[in-house]
Formats: sequence, structure tokens, C-alpha cells
Amino acid sequence: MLRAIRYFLREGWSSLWHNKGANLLSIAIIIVSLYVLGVFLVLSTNFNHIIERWSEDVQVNIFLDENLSEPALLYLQERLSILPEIGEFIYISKQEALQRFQILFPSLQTLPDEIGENPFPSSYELKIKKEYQTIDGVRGLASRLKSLDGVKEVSYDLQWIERLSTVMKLLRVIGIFLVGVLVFSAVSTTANVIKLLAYARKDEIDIMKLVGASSWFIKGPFLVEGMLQGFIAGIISIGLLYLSYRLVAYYLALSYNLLFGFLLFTFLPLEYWLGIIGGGTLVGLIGSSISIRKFLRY
Amino acid sequence: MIQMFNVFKNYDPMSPALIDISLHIRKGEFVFVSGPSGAGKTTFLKLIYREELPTRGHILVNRRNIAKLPPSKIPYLRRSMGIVFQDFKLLNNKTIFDNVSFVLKILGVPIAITKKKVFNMLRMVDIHHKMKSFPPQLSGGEQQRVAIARALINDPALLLADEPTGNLDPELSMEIMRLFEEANQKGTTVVVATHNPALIGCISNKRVIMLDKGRIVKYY
Ligand SMILES: Nc1ncnc2c1ncn2[C@@H]1O[C@H](COP(=O)(O)OP(=O)(O)OP(=O)(O)O)[C@@H](O)[C@H]1O
Ligand SMILES: [Mg+2]
Repeated sequence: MLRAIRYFLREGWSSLWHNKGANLLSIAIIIVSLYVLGVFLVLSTNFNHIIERWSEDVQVNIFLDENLSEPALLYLQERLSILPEIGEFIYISKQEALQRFQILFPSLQTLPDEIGENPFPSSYELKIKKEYQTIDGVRGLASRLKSLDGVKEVSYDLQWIERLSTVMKLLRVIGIFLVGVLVFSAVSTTANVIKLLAYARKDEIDIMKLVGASSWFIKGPFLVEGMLQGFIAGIISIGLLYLSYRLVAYYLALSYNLLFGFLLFTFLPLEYWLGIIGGGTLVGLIGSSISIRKFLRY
Repeated sequence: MIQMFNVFKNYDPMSPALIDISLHIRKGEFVFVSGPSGAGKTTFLKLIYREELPTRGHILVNRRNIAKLPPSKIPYLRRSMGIVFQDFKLLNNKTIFDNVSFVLKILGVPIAITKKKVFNMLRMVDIHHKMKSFPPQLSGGEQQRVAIARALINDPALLLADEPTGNLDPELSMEIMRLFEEANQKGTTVVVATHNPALIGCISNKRVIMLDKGRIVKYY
């Protein structure tokens, strides 16, 4: 078994080397599809990072009815403390809200006086626990809060993230489609290249059959050759992806501040590297096994 | 070992290659298939190693109907045989050594044993000095000897040789026949197709099937 695999590897490699031209073609096509796949993966992981970072300080404010009675306030407070999503919460009275406003906007300090009364409602600032910081989670919470007695309004700032998630969903659809098309063409290119090579070696294959080689024994080197195409393509596309990443990160760092670009824009984690290389190898394997089958009929 | 029952082979409907062949080749026999060019000798052998299927009739090899053999079993049938093809069928991009050792590689014989066996076999057919050459660099007779070495390397139960001395001088032909006879004495059933009567004369204990235009005209 081990000997057979070693034999396959040697034969597959030597054929790959002997037929550089044709093999380079399918390697190039596999590179293109893996590269595009990689670009989409980089984009989506980075968008995910951004979304995670943003939602870390998702804060929900509930504004209370005017003149809420003391027992009602206590009751509300109790309700808030048993909601599982909510971590800390602080009460901000009308007076505190006014003070905050005045600190934030010193030039408008006289505005409340001009209106005549304190226009700010009392409110609660709620911090959401990490595990509930999803768009759906926050939305659901908001609608439940709204139905509580004494709550006039609920506000949360998720629009930005929502928009980003929409973009991401779109990106994912485009990515899946594009990568699907490219993977398909990569598989068929590999299949055709291997078919070409098998045609060229048809006599050899027939002789092997006549002296009793099993179809696995004949197939092995071709499968290995296809897999090597994909493997090599995988490694090269990781390299190209990394180069492009560094380039983009460099320009991001120039145009924003250095830290921002560096912190926020990350490359793919190791599992993805392995996934891309493994995916390439799989493409090569599928392509070659499709085309070699028909040469092995007895 | 080989039984044929009313076997017909037509490559095309108008000109049959074999007509109504019935025979029984027993284990351990040394059989010549003889007859003029185009008589059907090669076709006869091809039916046995199942490169061709009979148009009509049945062929049993080791009591198994080889027409009914599933494709995945065909390699095993052929591994039990050694075949010298009329056109040699050597792998041109492999060295002489690799051509012969390929058979043992298929069988999973360990490298060390393979090396020894192949070297000995190549010496027996006197081609060991060209071990690292490739088939196209060899003369016809030399290639033929490589083909013979490959056929004998796995001590086959059945040796099928198609015109195995067609490119050899009389002296070498005799030597090859000695090799076949030796294998036969060790238990290999041998079937040699030839149109050369001198070759048949080399072997004392033998049977002869004479073919002409696809029919058995003599069988003794
Ligand atoms: N693949 C084929 N397709 C069509 N006809 C074939 C094929 N192989 C052989 N024949 C025909 O079958 C007949 C027998 O051929 P075969 O090769 O068995 O003869 P042979 O006895 O081996 O001749 P030789 O001594 O010249 O090798 C011939 O008439 C030949 O033309
Ligand atoms: Mg012939």
C-alpha cells in the first residue's frame, strides 16, 4: 500500500514535470478560482471582524414616560434586571440627561431655559451581554422592552451594522456564484488536461492492463498528478493572496491612520489556508478522476 | 486449464478469424498453435487472455467462463498468466529493468526480491547489460527477449507466447525454447503460437494445434 502510494507520487510528479505546458494551464485556472475564493474569504472575515467590534458596545436606551410613579419605576427596574440579555443598566434622571446635554453642547446651554422646562425624558442605559449582541437578538429585545409599562421609546444604534450585514449577504451570494463558476471551470480544465495526457499515454495504459495492472494501479499516477496540480495551485494562490493583502493593508495604513488599518484589516486564519490548499487538491482530484475513468474500461 | 466449446470469432461478419474451435488444453501441457499467417493464432491467444470475446461459444480458463468475468477480475486473470505479445508491447518510457519489474510491482513483491529476480531473469535471456536502456534503443530481437523476460518473471501458471522467436536467430531461439521447457517442467502450462516448424521440432513432449483460415486442420 505504502509502496503503491510512493509509486503513484513518483509517477505523478514525473508526468507533471514532463508535461509542464498542459499542466501549467490547469494550475493557472485553479489559481484564479482559488484566488477569487480567497479574496471573498478575506473580505468576509474582515467584515465579520468589523461587525463584531461594533456590536461590542451595542447600547440600548429606553426612554420613560413622563411622571412615572415611584412603584412603577421600581417595578420596571425589576423587570429589567430579570431580562437575560441585559448586563448592567443605569438610570438617568431628567436632571442628569439635561446636564449631559449641556456638557456635550456648551453652546446650546441656554436652550432648555428658553423652552422653559426640561425637555429630556428620564431613561435607562442598558448594556447588552456579549452573547446576545446579534442584530436579531437586539431587535427582539427592543420590541419586548417597548411593550413594558412606562416605556415610551426604545432606541438602539444598529443601522450601520445592519447595512454592513446586508452588504455581506450580497457579497456572499456573489462570491458563492463566482467561485462556483470558477471551480467548475477549474475542474473541467483539469479533467481535460488529464484526458489529453491519458490519450497521449493510451498505449501505455493498454499495456498495463494487458499485464494485469488493476485500474487503481493505472489510475493512481493520474489522480496524483491532478492532485499535485491543485496542491501547487493552492500554495501559489495563498502566496498571491498574501501579497495582495500586504499591498492593500499598506495603502489602508497610508490613507487612514496606521493603527486603524493595521488592526482592522487581517489576513485569513490558518484553517482557511489549509482549506484553500485542500480545496485546490480536491478540484484536481475530481477533475482527474472524471477524465481517467473511461480509459480504464476493460 | 483451457477449454473451448464451439468458439467462433468474427472481427467482421464477412471474414471469420476463428471457426468452430473446440479443444481442451490440460494443466502442464506444452502446446504449439501453428499455421500460416492470418490463420488465427493471435486471435486464439487473445481470446484466452480476454482481450477479445468470442462471437459465439464458450471459453473456460481454470474452469471459469471468462466471458462472464467481471471487469474488476480481469487483472487477476492476467496476473496468473505470462504473455509474450507478437508486437512485444513494452513501455517505451520505462527502462528495460522497469518494464520487467513492473509485473512484480503490480503483485506487490518487495523491492529487494524484485531486484534479484529481475536481474536473474534478464541474465537468462542475455539482455542484462541493457538493463538501463529504453526499449526504442534496443534491436527487435533484444526487445523480444525483454518481452519474454517479462512474461516469465512471475512464474505464471500459464504462458502464452505469440511468435516469441520471430526476431531471433536459430541459436537464440533454441535457448528461449529451453527456457520455456524449463518453466513447463516446473509446472507452467505453455502455449506457443508460431508458423515456424523448426521451433516445434525443439520440443519433444508436446501437442500441436494446426490452424488454417480459422479452422483446426490438425490436432495431435
Ligand atoms: N482487430 C482486428 N480487426 C479485424 N480483423 C482482424 C483483427 N485482428 C485480426 N484480424 C483478422 O483475423 C484473421 C486472423 O488474424 P490473426 O492475427 O489471428 O492471425 P495470425 O495467425 O496471428 O497471423 P500472423 O501469423 O500473421 O500473426 C486475419 O484475417 C486478420 O486480418
Ligand atoms: Mg499473429
